[in-house]
Amino acid sequence: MPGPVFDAGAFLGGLLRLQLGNLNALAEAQRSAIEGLTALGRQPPRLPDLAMPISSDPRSIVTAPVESLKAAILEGTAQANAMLEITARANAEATGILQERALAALDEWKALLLAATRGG
Amino acid sequence: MRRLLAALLLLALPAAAEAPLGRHGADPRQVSVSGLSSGAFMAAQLHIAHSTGIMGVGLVAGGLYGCAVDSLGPDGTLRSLAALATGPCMAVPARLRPVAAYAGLVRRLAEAGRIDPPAALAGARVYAFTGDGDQVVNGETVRRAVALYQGLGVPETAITLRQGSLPAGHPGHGWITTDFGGVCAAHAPPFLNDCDFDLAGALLQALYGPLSPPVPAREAGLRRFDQREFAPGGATRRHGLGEVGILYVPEGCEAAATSCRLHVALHGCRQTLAQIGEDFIRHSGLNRWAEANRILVLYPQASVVTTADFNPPRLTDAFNTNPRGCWNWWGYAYDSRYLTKDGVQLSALWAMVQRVTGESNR
Repeated sequence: MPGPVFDAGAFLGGLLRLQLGNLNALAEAQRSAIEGLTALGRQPPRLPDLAMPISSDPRSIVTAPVESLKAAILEGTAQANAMLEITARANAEATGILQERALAALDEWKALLLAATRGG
Repeated sequence: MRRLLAALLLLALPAAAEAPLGRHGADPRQVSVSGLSSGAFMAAQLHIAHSTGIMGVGLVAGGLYGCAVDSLGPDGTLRSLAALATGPCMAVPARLRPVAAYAGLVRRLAEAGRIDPPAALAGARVYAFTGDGDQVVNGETVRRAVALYQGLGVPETAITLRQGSLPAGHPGHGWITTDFGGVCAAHAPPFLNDCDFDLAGALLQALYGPLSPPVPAREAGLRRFDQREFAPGGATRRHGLGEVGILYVPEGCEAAATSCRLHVALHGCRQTLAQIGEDFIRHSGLNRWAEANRILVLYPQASVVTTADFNPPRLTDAFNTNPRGCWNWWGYAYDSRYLTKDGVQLSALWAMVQRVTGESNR
């Protein structure tokens, strides 16, 4: 009875498909990262307004700068939060694509090895 | 042996579910919606997406359509940010966009057939409320929501904007009541603020015109229903929906009640059945007006979503949670279509409306 034969062609073909899958995932991760950068670039670069309103009311003269500063801090924080979220989401999406592909590639590699073991 | 088998069979059955939502034949031309905070944002979403089927909206402390949208891509993908929801939409009005930007988003979505044409809004009625003591959602967001409706063609005469203080004080963040809940200026659960003001009556009359004075609600009118049939695959929690909703059925609106109206009332964040029990449902004041005026009141329920609700886990899960049980107005639970008719929660709410009006075969 002839023993099992290792099919080198099928193994290499499988390996090639696996690598192709890896490259596709890399391209998709890059696309996701670029989308994130584009979204960041779209964020309005407006700096918080620190203009002090002119008033003759002595109370207002005292409180207006404080209120203006508070508003500027909140506005800056809101802008920073949006930019941080865009960056973090883009990072997570790109890393997620690569991680998903890495898990799939391990399964594919396992299947290739099993097939080769059965064959050879 | 037979008893043992019967006992095992009983154990294998799922826990007793609530009854399905009833079909009541309510008048489909008299459907309105309102909500508090995240419920207000969702009310605007439901109204603008289904403007041909909803005649009026009540916005309490929220409600600017598309407020959390960062961009609408050329492929139609909506990208929204939680940071826009918590930043410009709630606390930093200086960073809100001009009304024209939100109107442009509505028009683009309508042109793509993803929401109803805004022309249908010309016949709509709008009531909006913001208290001058609200430190959670800035009043400017509510004013801009009103301006958006004006920009989309709702006549000024059909809009009521109540803002500022009330004789009882400076309203905080909550549904305003005549005699129930925390102090008027409160920002805490149950988010029902006792300001000696009948918000339910003001809102319903702005939408439906003069109504008969309220009467006590009936205990038998409260019907719990199973929301699972309205979630994809019955997976309510994964999509931020509660398992159980409540419908208030006034006397005379049991079945084939074509002269009855339907009002959808959407709770705010941290205000679900699981979080505050039936406080919002029993004490908003809506049921009393509903009983006197043959208005069915639908109280759908949202739910908390945590990273544990996503399987398999992904690195982006943290951006898709809903820790406070809010309605989806920033695209959580991986629902980038949340603003449109295809949005998971919006589809569920619309299916509930169609069930109660008898407009759907489901």
